[in-house]
Amino acid sequence: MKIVRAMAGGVLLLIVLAALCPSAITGVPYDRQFRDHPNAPMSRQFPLGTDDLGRDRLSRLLYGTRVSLLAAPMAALVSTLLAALVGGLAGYAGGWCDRLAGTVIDLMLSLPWLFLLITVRAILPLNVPPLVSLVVTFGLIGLLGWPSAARVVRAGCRALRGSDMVLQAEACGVAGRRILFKHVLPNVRPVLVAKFWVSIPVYILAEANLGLLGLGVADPLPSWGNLLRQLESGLNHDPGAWAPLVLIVIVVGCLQIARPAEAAAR
Amino acid sequence: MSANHAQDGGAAARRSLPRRIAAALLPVALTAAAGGLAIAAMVRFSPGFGLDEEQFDPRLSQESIEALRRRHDGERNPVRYFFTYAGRALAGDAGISSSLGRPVRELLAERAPATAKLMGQGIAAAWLMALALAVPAAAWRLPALQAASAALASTTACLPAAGIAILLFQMGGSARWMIAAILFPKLYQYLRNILGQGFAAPHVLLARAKGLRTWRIFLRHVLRPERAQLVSLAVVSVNMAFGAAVAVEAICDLPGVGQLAWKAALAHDLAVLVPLTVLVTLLTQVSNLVADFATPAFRSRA
Repeated sequence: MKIVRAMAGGVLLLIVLAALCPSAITGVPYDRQFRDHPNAPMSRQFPLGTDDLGRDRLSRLLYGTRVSLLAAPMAALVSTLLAALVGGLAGYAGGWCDRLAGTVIDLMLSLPWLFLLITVRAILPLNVPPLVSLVVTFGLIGLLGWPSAARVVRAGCRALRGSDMVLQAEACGVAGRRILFKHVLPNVRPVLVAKFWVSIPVYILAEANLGLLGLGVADPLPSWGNLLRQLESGLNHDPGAWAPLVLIVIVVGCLQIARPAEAAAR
Repeated sequence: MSANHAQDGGAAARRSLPRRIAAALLPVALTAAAGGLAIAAMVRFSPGFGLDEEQFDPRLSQESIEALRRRHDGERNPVRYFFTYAGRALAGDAGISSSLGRPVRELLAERAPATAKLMGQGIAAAWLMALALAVPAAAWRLPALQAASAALASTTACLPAAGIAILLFQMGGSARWMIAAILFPKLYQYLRNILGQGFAAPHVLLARAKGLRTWRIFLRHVLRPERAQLVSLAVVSVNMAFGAAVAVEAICDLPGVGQLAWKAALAHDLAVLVPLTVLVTLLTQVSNLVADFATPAFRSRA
């Protein structure tokens, strides 16, 4: 199993390196249009062919990989921090704070993830510059992804509230905020680390879904989601058009195999 | 004496059931109302609220533009909007879709059966697929079958729902199989764990040692004790199926509730989004409630 994990980690590392240095593989900018070669098949000049605007698919795939692989961990970080804050406060403070957080968590978990994402994303402006759309898409995924982790953190903090350690700290006159951030939350850190690792592939898939439905990162900035949109057009017989889907399967699969043991256990 | 106690306990349990249901329904209604209110507030405070493309038509007079602006006056306060809307909805008037120009009630009544049918067929197909792979893998513990099933489920789980829909659409697959393929990996994972535990139980090992047939063991000694967990899983699969239906109906251009949700979201159609959110929240909460009430009943019979 260790060998499989090491291999998955190696594949991920190679993909990350390729995404970080796309110019080492292809010197073509992702938005350059070869107007004489629209919908070109796979060739030596264009290893994955070109799209309907004559843009090199390999270049767009590499830059899109960079966008998805950098933004998904950022979104996971946002949701993990929110889960720690909301779950920690609700579990430690108890009372109306706990009940309110419980209702919000129940409400958000009772709506299907994709329905919630589509509804909230569509409420926000769609005709925005590509970089803004990137921040909005992944920011939203991060802001909506915290409830499941917050529920676990809340239960953990509630259990710790009555522990000897917390009672001792309260008896010594330590402020509630200090107890929460210095003594309670560090004890639920394994849950948060696991949540962070589990969230990354989930958020990569969420962005891909949003992009495919036309609600993700805006063109010409490539992301796996908007690269998959070309599958909806008539270009789907070209194997190069399927490359983003294959890469998503490889990356998400490798992330699930190579994640730390404590995340895999959850 | 003990018989009297048992009778008293039974009567108390019977008496308490309506109260328990009533007590459980209140949070369900409150959560659904909170969902509707939250969506109404989000739409109200979203950029571009109250602006219609018609307002920029240069042929319109100032009075016409003012009239178009006033059309959204009733929606400016989300709390008032939601409670006015809820009052009208309870009286049977769910409002008119601003993007499609038709009564929301009519739209939902027209599209809900198609989505319900699609979800039902998709859930049934997903359960069949998951059971067909999970039962032999757990019962006979064949390493090759376990590895092949796990590989299939893992690969499907690595694909986005909309990606699965497009892939199967290109291959000529029907929408119900798209829903099934989206649900399959999660169902398979849970079923494999539940059935794996069931087949490893000591009484099952004893039944095997006594030479009982595997199917008899599965139906009598594995499936029955695990009914409560399976009911919970069935309830969860309804929620998952609705999420999948949104992607499938949008990709395949099927006129269902999922496609309506997608189109309403793109058009900022508050009149459709609010009832849809309330309905989806109610559906999930009531399903969870049914599972909560069914679980102890099954456990006590097992």
